Amino acid sequence: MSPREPLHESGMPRAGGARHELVDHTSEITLRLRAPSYPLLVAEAARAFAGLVPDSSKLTASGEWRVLHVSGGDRAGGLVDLLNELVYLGEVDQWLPLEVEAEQEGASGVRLRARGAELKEPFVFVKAATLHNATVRDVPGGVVGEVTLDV
Amino acid sequence: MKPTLEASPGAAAIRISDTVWEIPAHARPGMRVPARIYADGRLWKQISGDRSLEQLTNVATLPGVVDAVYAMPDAHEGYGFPVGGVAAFRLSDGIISPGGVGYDINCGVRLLAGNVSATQLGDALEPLVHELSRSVPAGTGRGGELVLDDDELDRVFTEGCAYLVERGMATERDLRHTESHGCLPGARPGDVSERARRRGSGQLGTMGAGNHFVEVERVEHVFDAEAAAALGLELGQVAVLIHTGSRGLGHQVCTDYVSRMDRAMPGFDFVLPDRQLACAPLDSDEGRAYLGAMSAAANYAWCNRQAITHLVRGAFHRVLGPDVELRLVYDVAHNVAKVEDHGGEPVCVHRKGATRAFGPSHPETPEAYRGIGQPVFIPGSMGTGSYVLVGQDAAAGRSFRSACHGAGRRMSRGQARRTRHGSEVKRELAERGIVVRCPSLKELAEEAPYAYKDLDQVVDVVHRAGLARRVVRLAAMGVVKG
Repeated sequence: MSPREPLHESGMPRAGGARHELVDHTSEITLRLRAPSYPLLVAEAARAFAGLVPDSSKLTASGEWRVLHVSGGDRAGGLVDLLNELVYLGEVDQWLPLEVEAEQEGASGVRLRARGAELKEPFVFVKAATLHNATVRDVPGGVVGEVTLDV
Repeated sequence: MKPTLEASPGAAAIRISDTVWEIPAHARPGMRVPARIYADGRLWKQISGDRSLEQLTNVATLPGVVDAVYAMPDAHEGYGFPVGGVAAFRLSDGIISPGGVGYDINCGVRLLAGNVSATQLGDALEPLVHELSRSVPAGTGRGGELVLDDDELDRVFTEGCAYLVERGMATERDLRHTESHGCLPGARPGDVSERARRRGSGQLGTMGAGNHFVEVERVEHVFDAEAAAALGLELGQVAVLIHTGSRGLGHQVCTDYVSRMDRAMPGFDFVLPDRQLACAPLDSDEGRAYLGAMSAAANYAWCNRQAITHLVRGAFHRVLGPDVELRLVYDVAHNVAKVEDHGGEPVCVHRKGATRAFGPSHPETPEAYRGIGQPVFIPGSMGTGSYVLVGQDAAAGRSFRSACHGAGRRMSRGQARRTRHGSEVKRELAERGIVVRCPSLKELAEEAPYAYKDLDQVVDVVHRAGLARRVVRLAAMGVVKG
């Protein structure tokens, strides 16, 4: 079994204290997230996904804002659905979210607004986000989440 | 109540022979059948070192599971099912699970045998590999030249490789030497989402990234001369291995149905130990829809490998001349669920990272290989060689007629990159005479030989356990990576 080592971290905590860590394993990457709230956790997941694209830090956001809706009743499932939406947009529209804003929608859902960049090539590194060990739970001071990406 | 595991399932395992371990059905609550693992002592340590055994025993709790669940010697932790897992379910009260097939539906391997020898190929190897890399779209960015409209995609879904005969990209002989003749019956194009169609419309005839490849091989060693002759293989002969699957279309079908079945789970009368095992009764709307969509994606994958075959044959003709032939030895899937006969009862066999291995007397073994067995291909990493085996009749009672599908990764991609730089890997392969074309050095390092398990050991277990019989070993001469 290979050791689980951090692939990279988000560096300084984001506004509001959200951060993430990507840990790679034999045929998958685990995305670990921490944020003060579920909406900020969702936004951090989108930023983490963008960070998987090589040199994404050199890209500039432009164009229309896109709005994505994330369910709140099943928070882990909602996070997986969001990441699968980004997998689809990265491959078919060649679009990557770079500027992300999130706010609560309804009782527990999240409305995500994102502006991004068009990629020169489809992003197909991630096959899918999986429900394997997918979790979102409340902890003192915020929320933590974990999603496994099939790569 | 959700069945949970209190201790490592490996702790309950009994070694029942040199190559077989068993976790009894009473090892944990909820298991309906035992779990059997094909491994020697060293592979057992690797397999029991991650969560493969927990995942395998999870599968043993699913409704309608038959006889036993199996892990092949290359098994490792996956999502829901372990990779290298095999399980079968009764049609009457059993389930079907997208996680038991995997995201790359009908990922598989085909072998083409050339009418030239490695000696005859000589200095043409480098230009040949270069031409193959120009001809077969690979990596993350390149789409195929065959962009399909909705009607054409429907024909791929329902007719499989037979549609490519009409398009001049396949022969009737190719169909006879492809598992299920390159077409699973029962495909339901209406159950393939618009999203999956969009991902698949421009990807037919493309390799994709990751561990997918087109390799030029040389028959390096013959273990069984009679079987090798029946497969049309001889020492020193040039051959081509193609490894790819259903690309983004298959990934999207799996994503769609994991999500749909996950939402439907509260309506079914069983509880899952792992959410990624999301499944549905075979006799339910969700189960039938997934089987139909998965069959469509499987047919797309066979067409993908066939379209790449067409491109590979073209590249060989341009470099070596029109007299060069590449005959399809066989094409076999290693990520699929199929209804098969098991002792007179139809069951839905899930093979996730496992290869069908029908024996010499099975009616679906191609006529040319009756008496020998269905060809099974076990590719290793580039630089370590690959194996051709044939199925054994005795495997019917041992693994639902299945064998393993590869060496299996032992290092993460990141760990492989940190071990050696891609340029170093390329130089080492070049020193051994292996010509490599890869979109990036980073990906080359991720797929380096040391990132995989010992293939010889994996194949040795398959052979000794009677799952499939070794016929020849192939050595890579040229590698085009995805």
